[in-house]
Amino acid sequence: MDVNGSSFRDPSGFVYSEGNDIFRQVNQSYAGNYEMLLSSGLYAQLTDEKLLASHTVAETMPGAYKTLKPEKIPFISYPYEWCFEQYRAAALLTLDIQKRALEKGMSLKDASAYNVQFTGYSPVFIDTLSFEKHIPGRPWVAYGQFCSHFLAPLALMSYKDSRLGKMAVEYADGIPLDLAAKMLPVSSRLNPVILAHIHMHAASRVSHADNRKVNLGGMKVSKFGLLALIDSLESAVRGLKPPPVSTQWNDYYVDNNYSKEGFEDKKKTVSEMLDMAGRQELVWDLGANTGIFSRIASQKNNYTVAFDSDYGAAAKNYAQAVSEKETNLLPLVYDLTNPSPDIGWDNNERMRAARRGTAGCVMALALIHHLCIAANIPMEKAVSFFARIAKNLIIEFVPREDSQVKRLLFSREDIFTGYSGENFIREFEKKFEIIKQEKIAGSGRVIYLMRGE
Amino acid sequence: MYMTNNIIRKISVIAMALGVLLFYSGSLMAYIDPGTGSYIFQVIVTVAAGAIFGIKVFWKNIVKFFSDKFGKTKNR
Repeated sequence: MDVNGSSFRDPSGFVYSEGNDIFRQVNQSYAGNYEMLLSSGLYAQLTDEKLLASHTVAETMPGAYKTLKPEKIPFISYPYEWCFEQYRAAALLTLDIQKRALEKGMSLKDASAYNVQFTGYSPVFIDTLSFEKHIPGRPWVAYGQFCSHFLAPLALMSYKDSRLGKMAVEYADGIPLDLAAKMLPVSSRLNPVILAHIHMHAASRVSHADNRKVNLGGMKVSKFGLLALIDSLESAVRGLKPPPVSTQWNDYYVDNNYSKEGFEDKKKTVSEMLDMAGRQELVWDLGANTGIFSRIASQKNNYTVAFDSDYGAAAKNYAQAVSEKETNLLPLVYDLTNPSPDIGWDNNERMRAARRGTAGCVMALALIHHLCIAANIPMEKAVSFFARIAKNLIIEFVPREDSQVKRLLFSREDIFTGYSGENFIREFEKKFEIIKQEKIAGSGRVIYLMRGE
Repeated sequence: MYMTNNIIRKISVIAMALGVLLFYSGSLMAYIDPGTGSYIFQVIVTVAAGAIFGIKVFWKNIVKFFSDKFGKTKNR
């Protein structure tokens, strides 16, 4: 039994894995709430509408009330890897679930952004043990957590810059509201719901930080008040404008080295190489841009994670995934040169990507020049990185003569003497077998299919 | 801000009084820290949110009433 590193705070149960299977233990202390989740019809309603991850009941482990086998999420992602609209979808899902829970006499006892995962475009709530019986009059215990985990980062991204979504790496239990209030512009105070739920809320937290005279058990909020609170939070979340999508990659496919013929040739080559690599449970497309090539993989029934460091590219990719209801493609904001680290208690609650799944095939198209020239990563270090993560690797070499490489070298001294086609092959052959290589029509670029040792 | 502090103070007093009355109802049990300030503020903000929500619901009902009536007339 390998207990999940992030599953220890809630005494109601925990998640663990055995081999490739994931299980959730329900402790005796949660029995009443678990039964109510089922008997109230809330579980059926939420799973029918795919808002909550479903589960089957497995053989009960000794000491447990129940052992559940939840549906598997193809790839775990974290809020600091989401673009604004993914964050917003996760926030609205949490509020929708809380509203439905209240209607069935239950309530969410936490509102952590980590309880939401994505299966393709669609957010799904994964924590079956977050529901508790609502005691009439009791305020929403997770209100403050919702504001820190969702509203504050969304407001910062909307009012200031998408990149502030990365603050969640530093503040794993939500952005402190006083910090968010300081960072937000004065104009945010003109938005009544942001004024209330962030600025005034932050002031109340600060002024009552050491108040031990108040008996919180005596504070009452009616069900109508709770529904009003959710409605108000929904207005706040919906009212935030998405940050402008200005991206260095926006025009990449318009202004690059490919002719129309070359572009189609590249698509065909990638498609053939994916077929040769075989169907995979998980494909990673590193430097995916807006996901044109990721979709070739996802449309072949490979669950594909499209990583790109650019918020604008990921936002465009996600918008397309939503409009086409793509369930096999997950766009994420992810900087390969400074990837999501192992964070949280004992560096084990939130994991780097390589600990969250193994990709059967990795695509790295038009990426190597960014690693070797823009980020000064020596070729041999790039090779050892790919060797660790890729069984099958589809990688494109972009030669020095390419306009994109010239652009990267325009304002810097060319110290990259090791960057050549010959050296590329020599270094990769130390760790990979080259299965196939194809020159892209009308350009000097070459795409390789390689197989790891 | 003065007004807000005043309201908070009043509610705190009421809450303390209620706390004594409801002593046996037990104190708050939650595995996450709800934060005293968040809790107190939630009680206040739901009053304002409730008023707005009430108007919204009332308005929706009015719109529904007339659209139903209009719909019926149209069907005839």
